[in-house]
Amino acid sequence: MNSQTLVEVRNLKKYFPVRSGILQRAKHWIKAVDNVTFSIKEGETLGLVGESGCGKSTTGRAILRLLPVTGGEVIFQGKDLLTLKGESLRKARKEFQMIFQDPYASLDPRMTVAQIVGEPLKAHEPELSAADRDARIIETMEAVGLNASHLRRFPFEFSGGQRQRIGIARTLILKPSLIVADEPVSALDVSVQAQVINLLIQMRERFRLTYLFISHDLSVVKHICDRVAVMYLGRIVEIGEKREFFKTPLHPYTHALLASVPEPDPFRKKERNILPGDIPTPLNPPPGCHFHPRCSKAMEVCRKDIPVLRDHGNSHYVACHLP
Amino acid sequence: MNLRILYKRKIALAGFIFIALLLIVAACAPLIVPFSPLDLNPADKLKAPGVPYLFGTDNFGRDIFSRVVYGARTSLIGGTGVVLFATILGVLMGAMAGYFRRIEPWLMRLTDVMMAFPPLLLALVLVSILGRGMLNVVIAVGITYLTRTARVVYALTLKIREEPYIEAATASGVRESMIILRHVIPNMLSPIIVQATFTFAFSLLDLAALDFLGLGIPPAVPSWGNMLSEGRIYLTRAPWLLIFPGACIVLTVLSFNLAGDVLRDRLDPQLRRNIEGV
Repeated sequence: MNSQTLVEVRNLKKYFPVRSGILQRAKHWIKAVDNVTFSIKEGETLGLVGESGCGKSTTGRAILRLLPVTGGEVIFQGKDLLTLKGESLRKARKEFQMIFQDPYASLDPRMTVAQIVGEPLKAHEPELSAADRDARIIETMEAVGLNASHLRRFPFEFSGGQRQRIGIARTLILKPSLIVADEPVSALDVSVQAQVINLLIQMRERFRLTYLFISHDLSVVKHICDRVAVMYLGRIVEIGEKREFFKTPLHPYTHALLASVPEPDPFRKKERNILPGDIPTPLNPPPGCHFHPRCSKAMEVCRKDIPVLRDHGNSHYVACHLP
Repeated sequence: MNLRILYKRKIALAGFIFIALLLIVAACAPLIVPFSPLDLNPADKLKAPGVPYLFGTDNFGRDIFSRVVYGARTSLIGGTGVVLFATILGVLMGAMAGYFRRIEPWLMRLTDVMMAFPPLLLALVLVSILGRGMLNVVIAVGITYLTRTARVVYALTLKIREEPYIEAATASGVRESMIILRHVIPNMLSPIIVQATFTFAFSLLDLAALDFLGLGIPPAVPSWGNMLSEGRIYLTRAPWLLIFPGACIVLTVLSFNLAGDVLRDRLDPQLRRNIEGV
């Protein structure tokens, strides 16, 4: 992986106002994404993992400008996406697409498959003739394992896995460089998950894609990703190469996450490391390191100072006060 | 269009046939009527239905059949006008209020104000401001239904704009105007169709009521409402003056309601496949 950086996220912030009182003034802010910084190289897949509510989906949506962002920079192909507006933003979307979690709700029930898959093409290449467009639609459908006989059907006639293939075809038709996949398999049957994951890997090789792969399933992340980032309460706590990450996890939270992955071998002894308590409310997060109330190794400094990401070698960064 | 569904719903089929008949009759009125609807013939006044006056005559000796036929024209034009006016403006207003939240308070408070008036009173006020005549009556009645359609569409827009497929379209770079046109409005179509058939049915009643009160279409023009208005004093002596135009209103309103149900089912691709078993 010596290629160029495709997208660089710097100090990304997304705060949701909590309004109250008659004047509806923002009294509190939920810091859903707080100073998130990372970069993804061309052709690389970065896994973004964490519990639900940790801000990983919000991060993905903020990068793609699907939500108003509070602050930071997203440098993509030399441009800051967060400064784009209106028509220039719309045109730029050709290069970065999103695969959604829910393959049922993310396809318009009133459109045929051909219309759904062809819609991005219509939006970005309106000059294309109907025949050329149909050819592109069929080509893309075949790439994701669907065929031309599916074109005139409606989404409800397909299974969850097939629907997700339609969703993938829709994102691929424009040949984007970056795809944010927001839990693309978590709504699917386990038997179908592997097929869709393998399809995503095939497509990555074929179309030279770069993925930001958002997931809470570490075994899926282990299969598809090159690097992994862990989020906790809006902040990245650990980020590193996959092998490094799974072999020598450094953050106590990562330890707990990895320990929670089911072990397929019942005879293998496993260190039990169950976290006490729940994820705190982001409305009033603990001071210092957000993780300290649940951390078995918490020290005095953890209650006061926010730990910053420190390099532990091999581009393995950890935000923890532990040495 | 595949109309097999109609064989499974005999009553709806009857509704469609009645509407078709009404359209043909209204379109070919001059060829059908045996007498001019305006011809006075005092010698034959208040004749019971029979030959040659199929539906009898009124107090001026005018042929009721001919007047009912011409009244169909007036009613269909009026109802269609109200539906077009209320649906087009209502959908635009509701969709805009739901989609562009900054103008929502202005548009929706405006509909609230209009809804605060009793519909007929509002129509009466508007007619007295605008004056009589088909266009003014259509606007006066249409405004009431415009606010209702706008309300329905506004609520639907709020629901649909949060659907993941809208976010997906935005993420693909589809223009906002195209999203409204190709995703938001098509997904609201069945409730809008239902609303439009209701609007048509009820507006026929409102138009008739305005005519009945003498504030609608000028009395010289034959309309079902005008006929009811003129005939009411002869209710006991010559009930056919009221029975025929009244029956026409009832059957038309009923037919459009039945037709609306079928259209709603056909417009939903999932329901359509289930019903037709394709």
